[in-house]
Amino acid sequence: MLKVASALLIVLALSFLFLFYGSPGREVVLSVRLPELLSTFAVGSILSLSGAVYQNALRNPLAEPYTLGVASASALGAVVSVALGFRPEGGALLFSILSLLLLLFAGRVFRSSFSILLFGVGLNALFSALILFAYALLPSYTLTDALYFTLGFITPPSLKLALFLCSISLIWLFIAFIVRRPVELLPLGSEMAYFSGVNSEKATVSLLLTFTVPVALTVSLFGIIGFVGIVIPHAVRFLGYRLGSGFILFTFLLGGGLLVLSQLIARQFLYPTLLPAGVITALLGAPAFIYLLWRYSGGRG
Amino acid sequence: MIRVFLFLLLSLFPLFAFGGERVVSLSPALSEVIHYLGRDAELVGVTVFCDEDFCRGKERVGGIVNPSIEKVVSLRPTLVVCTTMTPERLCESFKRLGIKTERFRLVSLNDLYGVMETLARELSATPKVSLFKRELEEELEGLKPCLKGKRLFIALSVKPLYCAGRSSYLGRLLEKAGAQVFPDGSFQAVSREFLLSLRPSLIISFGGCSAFKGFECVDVSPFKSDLLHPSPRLLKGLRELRGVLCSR
Repeated sequence: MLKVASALLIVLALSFLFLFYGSPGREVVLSVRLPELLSTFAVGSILSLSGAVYQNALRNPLAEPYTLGVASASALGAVVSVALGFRPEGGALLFSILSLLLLLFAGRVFRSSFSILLFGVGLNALFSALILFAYALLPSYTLTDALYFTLGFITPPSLKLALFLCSISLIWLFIAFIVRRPVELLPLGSEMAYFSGVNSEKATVSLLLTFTVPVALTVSLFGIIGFVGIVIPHAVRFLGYRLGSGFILFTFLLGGGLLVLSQLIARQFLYPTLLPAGVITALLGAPAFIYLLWRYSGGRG
Repeated sequence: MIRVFLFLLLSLFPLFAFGGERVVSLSPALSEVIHYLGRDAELVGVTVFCDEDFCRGKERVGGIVNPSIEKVVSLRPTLVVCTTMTPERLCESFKRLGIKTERFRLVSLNDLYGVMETLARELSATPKVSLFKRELEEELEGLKPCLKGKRLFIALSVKPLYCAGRSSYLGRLLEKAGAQVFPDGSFQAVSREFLLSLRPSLIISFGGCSAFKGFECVDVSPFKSDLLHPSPRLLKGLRELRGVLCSR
């Protein structure tokens, strides 16, 4: 309880810093920083929560929302939309839904979580190659829209959209609480899950699909922001929360907190030049991930 | 009487001081157009890439692709101008915040003329398109003796080989100066093999000439900023190009 309260306190302190750093005017706080804060927290918490579910469902510590090709499909959709003269968000959402359908297909055909994971890796590679192919064909004056999308810049949305994203993240937090039993049982193996009353094949596919939906939505709005989904669940396990509500709540809070911190750095580091939040999460996340790996493998003896 | 005069002066001072537009430009080329129109006093914010003298002392709002939205908002602009190099999503953020925003495509010469006309209208400035065209013609006339009849390839970068084709603004200008620009099209990446098949008699390179051994090549990298901005700054660039080309 004390740990959750501390995490909440850290998130609140970060939010305060995010809103009032540099003493901006009232207009900037209300019309720019507040929607930016709400949407950033929502995106971070969705990505980390989905990452935790993916890792457990696929029994793979490297699984995250982007592993199954959702992000690259979305980015490809954005690039195709730009090439056809449309807004990138629509195409991104459409292609993420396409990746969801492909995932459903893979779930029916392969029936093993490892095969689904490999199918996702293959899709990821294919979509990434198609993105590069499209870059080579796009005229330079439209390339920026596509690049901006794939780099993972967080642009402040309207307050309405930010509140919508917040409610989406809270809905999925609630869903995560509801499905926490299969999420806890799947890493123990399909037999153990079966004898505990969970059909592992069905549960894996339905969990992956359920938690891909909000990821597809966030990617279609803010592009690819990596490492949150992979690092935060490991960090939470490192803090001693492996099961139950504590694990879910901590993952939700720390995911949002990490992205808020990353966006704060992205905004202020080279102010007024804005950096992509995805780059900062990778810069913070990669060393943290290596450290966690080292601790897990007994590197400290 | 003096008191009345002073009262009127002090009351009307804000009107004189803030009567014009407050423009934030998210493109160095657009800032240069505004400067050419004589309205740089109304420019309150520019990008970090604006390297001309008139940009000194202006507030910097970040890059072309990634400016700080809150910095722009804090300058309380009445107009934000940007090109298609600035992502559409950013421009829409300004519109949503109630700031008038104009996003221009600035690729060809006609685009530049259109931008000059629109900005002159927006800023209630004297239209200078005809003057600009005349000045451009003069510079191109000066280039004709050195470019006439040349099969020209304009290399913007060497690795990869990225070039400005015939329909780019640079291509069109140098065609007007008598050169035959290859290949067709606007800005594009081409292979080395394709370059050999074009058999250019002259290469203008912005990335040095060491990669073009066996070709007649002119290194224009020191004038990159002057020639690669689709703006009135081109006049200076063409003058510099004439200096290099015709003094060989």
